[in-house]
Amino acid sequence: MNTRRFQSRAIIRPIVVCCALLALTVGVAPLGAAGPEHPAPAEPQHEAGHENHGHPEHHGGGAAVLNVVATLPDYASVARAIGGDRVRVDAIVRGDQDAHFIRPKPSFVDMVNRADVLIATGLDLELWLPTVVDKSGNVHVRSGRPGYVAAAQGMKLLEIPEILSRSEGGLHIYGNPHVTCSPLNMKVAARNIAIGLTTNDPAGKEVYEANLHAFLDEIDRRLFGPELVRLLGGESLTNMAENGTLIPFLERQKFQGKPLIDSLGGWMKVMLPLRGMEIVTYHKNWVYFVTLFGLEEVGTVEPKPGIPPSPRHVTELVELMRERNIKVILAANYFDEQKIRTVAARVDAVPVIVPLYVGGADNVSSYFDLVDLWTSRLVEAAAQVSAGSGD
Amino acid sequence: MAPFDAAQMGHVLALPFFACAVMTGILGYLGMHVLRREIVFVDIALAQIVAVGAIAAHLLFDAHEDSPAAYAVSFGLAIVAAAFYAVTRRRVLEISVEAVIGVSYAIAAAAALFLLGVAAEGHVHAQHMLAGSILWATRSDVVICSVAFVAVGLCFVLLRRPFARISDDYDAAIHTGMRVVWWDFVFYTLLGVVITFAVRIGGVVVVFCLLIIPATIAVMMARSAAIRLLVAWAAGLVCSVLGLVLAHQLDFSVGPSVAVLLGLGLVVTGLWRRLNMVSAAVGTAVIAAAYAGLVLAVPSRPDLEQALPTTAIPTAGATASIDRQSAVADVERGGEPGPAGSGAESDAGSASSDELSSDPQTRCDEVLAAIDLDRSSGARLALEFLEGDPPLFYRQLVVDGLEQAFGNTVGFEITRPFSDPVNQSAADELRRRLQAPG
Amino acid sequence: MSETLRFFAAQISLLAVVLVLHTYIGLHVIRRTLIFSDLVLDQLAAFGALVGIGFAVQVGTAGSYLFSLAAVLVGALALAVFKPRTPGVPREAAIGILYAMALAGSLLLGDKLTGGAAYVTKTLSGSMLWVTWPIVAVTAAVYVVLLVFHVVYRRQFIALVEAEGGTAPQRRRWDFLFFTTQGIITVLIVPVAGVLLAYALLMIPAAIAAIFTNRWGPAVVLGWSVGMVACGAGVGLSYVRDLPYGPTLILCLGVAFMVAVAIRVAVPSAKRS
Repeated sequence: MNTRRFQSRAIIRPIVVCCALLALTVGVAPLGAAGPEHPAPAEPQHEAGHENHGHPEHHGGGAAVLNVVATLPDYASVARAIGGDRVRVDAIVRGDQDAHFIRPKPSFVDMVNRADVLIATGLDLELWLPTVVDKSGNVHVRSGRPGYVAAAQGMKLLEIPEILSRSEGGLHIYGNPHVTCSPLNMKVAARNIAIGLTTNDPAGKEVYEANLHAFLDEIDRRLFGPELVRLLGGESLTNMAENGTLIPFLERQKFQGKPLIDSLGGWMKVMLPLRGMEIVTYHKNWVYFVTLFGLEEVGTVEPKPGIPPSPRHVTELVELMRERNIKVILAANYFDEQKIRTVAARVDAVPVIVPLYVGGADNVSSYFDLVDLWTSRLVEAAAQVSAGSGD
Repeated sequence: MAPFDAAQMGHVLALPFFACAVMTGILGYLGMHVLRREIVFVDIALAQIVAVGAIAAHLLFDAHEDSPAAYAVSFGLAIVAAAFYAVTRRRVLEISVEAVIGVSYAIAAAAALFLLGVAAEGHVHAQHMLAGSILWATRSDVVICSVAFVAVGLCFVLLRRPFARISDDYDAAIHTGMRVVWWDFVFYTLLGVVITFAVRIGGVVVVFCLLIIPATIAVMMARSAAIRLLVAWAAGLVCSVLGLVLAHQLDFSVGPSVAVLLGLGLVVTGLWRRLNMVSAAVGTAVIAAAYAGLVLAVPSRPDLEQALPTTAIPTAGATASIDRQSAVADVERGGEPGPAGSGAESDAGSASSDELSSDPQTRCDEVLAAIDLDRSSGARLALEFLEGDPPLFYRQLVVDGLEQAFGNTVGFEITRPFSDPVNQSAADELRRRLQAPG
Repeated sequence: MSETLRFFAAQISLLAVVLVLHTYIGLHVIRRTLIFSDLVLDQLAAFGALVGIGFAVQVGTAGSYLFSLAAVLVGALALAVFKPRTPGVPREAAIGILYAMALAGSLLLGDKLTGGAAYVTKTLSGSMLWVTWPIVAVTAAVYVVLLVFHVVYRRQFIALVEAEGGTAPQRRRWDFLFFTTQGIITVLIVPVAGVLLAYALLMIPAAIAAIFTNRWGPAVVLGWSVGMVACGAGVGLSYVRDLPYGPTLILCLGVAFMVAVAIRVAVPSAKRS
């Protein structure tokens, strides 16, 4: 008898408690929604339903603000530069995360739900994005719709697989999707983003075009140096750099008696002594960077993202590095530092571990900072190597 | 991150909740059997085996996750495993069946990682396998699972007596001549069906937790089978809701969140069983308060806007013409990457004339070639080119070309824009020379 | 060639050292049917290291080992203390739930930490490839100490298996010491081998031995030998065919296990026939 009563009491109380918890949660919801106690950023009032997309929302003093969501922080940074005060930008992937590996989270759904413009690479890097977009119910930013910007549209892609076989890198079928590591690609991205912003906010067209032009100009000047931009213009410099014919051209040609190569400035100049240097990368993130600056990527440590390399691959790589005297390993900072340093230690190489995206480290708050960091770290490493070998 | 927005949450979490609810329904019941038979880990082993099956089907036969082929392979493997467990349970080996299950779990997990390591694109599945993708459950997922689970439930209702007899006392059942191996096999088959469907959505962790924990709570709290079932269902549902809310507010994966909430539920139950009322109430209140605190006082995601200062860009001085190159450019491969946002190739009124491309390098080459060919038309093209104030280097080249063609200086001052009077007069001079015969 | 040789030498020597103690402890685990207690400790070790990452303590440093050890000790305590009093709730349930919580906790932490998600995957696949001679040395040293401890007190430990009697506090003490041993070897081996391989190295050679014999000495020898053969095959196969390392080792051990089961089913022991 006693046990039965105890048992029934034992059932009821916990259930009561659970229900109380539930009631608490549900009951506090209206309070929470109205309460201003927690530091939430000022959100434009979003009514239920999704009719409000495609047109900038009005808040505050009546100035229209476009809600832009980018997958990568680099695109967000560019969108911010082009959109100025007319846009409110957010990025899904953090600067120190691996875009392959993002586990889609509820907050992504909320972000995409509120977005007027969604910027993604448009290749098969952000494989998790379609699910998030679907779930958010935001039709306006689906692929193909006006609210969607494919940043890589029109970019010249490298490493396009000839055979689409599963065993041989069937991973990225359009080509290498890590497009953000070349400033030239970011120019194309910037143009696409500007078009996207203009489509969704036609009133801001002039502002966007002006900012776009300023941004493109700044990239040119930082990449080639202001002098050369003055002489040759950004467009031909870009084309030649993309074809790989720039440096030979500069070495051959003169302007008013002075070899053009002497007028080279910016990142290209900084990286000029490193042309032809052989490096090993941790993963194939850096193809566009390496091609642009004339480095040689001789091998990678982890060819398949997330899957540890096999023993033979590692031993072969180490032997290769020893044979060719490769002393620099370039890796994004979201990889396992222990592995990088172990491989580096085995061959006495210098590991260059840098953020792949804007915001991936302190003091890297713009794309220009990012490329500055890459170039300076590589130059430093090269200096270390030649000092070490007593050149 | 938004403050507690019940409407948004309801929209996002509705389907996931139904997925959890149907899983709770069948797994809560099955958990009772599993506990009574004391084969707790069989389902985590089976769940892992099912996961391997799905991966194998996807990678070897190119079957999409949802296709019948994937289900078939998963289920097939589960059946093989079931047969194996049923046989070994008969103490054919010296070691307990739990040891066999433990070993098979490790082997299955290794097989999964092996397949993921060998094939090129398996990395996406590794996390999915464990954490599941409840948040992304679709309506068809939930419907398919419901149908499967109802079917299995019916089988269990029909066959409840033989199952009960074996669950209650394995050896006695053997003595009464039941073909226990066969019944065990049937039991594992039905369990396999459930797990095949559940793991697809929920992932290994939450399926295991929904199987064991509600049943454990139920057994701790009640005696009669009916009440136990109700308690199991209630516990499962409540913890699912709480877990979903937590996952949404704190940005966690749903599967592990629900699992942790189930664990908390067990802790609360334990408190009420072991301690006196006051202590238990205090403990529960503490846990509840911690939960509410986490869920309501959500720290906002650092806004990118605040994190990045405005990129310092010189304001547009508009020295050169705005680059009009169309972004919807050249390379369109067969499988074209996501189409550009706007189809509007609006103001791509790129180069002025159609014959000449806009790249100054190419245009310069064309102009020089034209001058070589026929200096008068070449000169006209040159003037057009110079009008656009191209970069200095090309200006120099074209002017050099003109000087070569027309001898002596032509009078252009390349460091000044074309509109400058010096250049204007040089241009006029050149035009006059072109018109003059000879 | 030297790189290859170096690789094989390091791997084989580590495995040889590890398997001795693992087989012995594994036999305990199997005979006490606490199969998943090791999995709990393995996962807790991984969880501890993840927490360490949260405090900016790098994996593989002394601090990281301390975090793992702390988590494992808590787990050892929990395993010794949480014996469900309700009839109808088997002890395996408690262990299983602890494992699920450790795994769920790891996944949740992985959600939040930078690089945490990659680490969760790494804890499963392991990083045996990256083992260096210092690690082999430290591991060997600790393992030898533990082995000596267990040889000296073997009667008390074996008593835990054979008789369920003895006074409760005494049993709890030796239980705790047993789980602590398990915990220490876990903390050392999980960062290197990963959760699954650590677990397989513990369970499979011991299981194979237990299938064939009841005695302790011969069981350890048998388990060790079979384990070495299987691991050797795994290392070689992985290298020659370019297969993922940790999973290949486990699968080779698994094949050995299946073969053992087949043999036992085909040739029943004297007692049975």
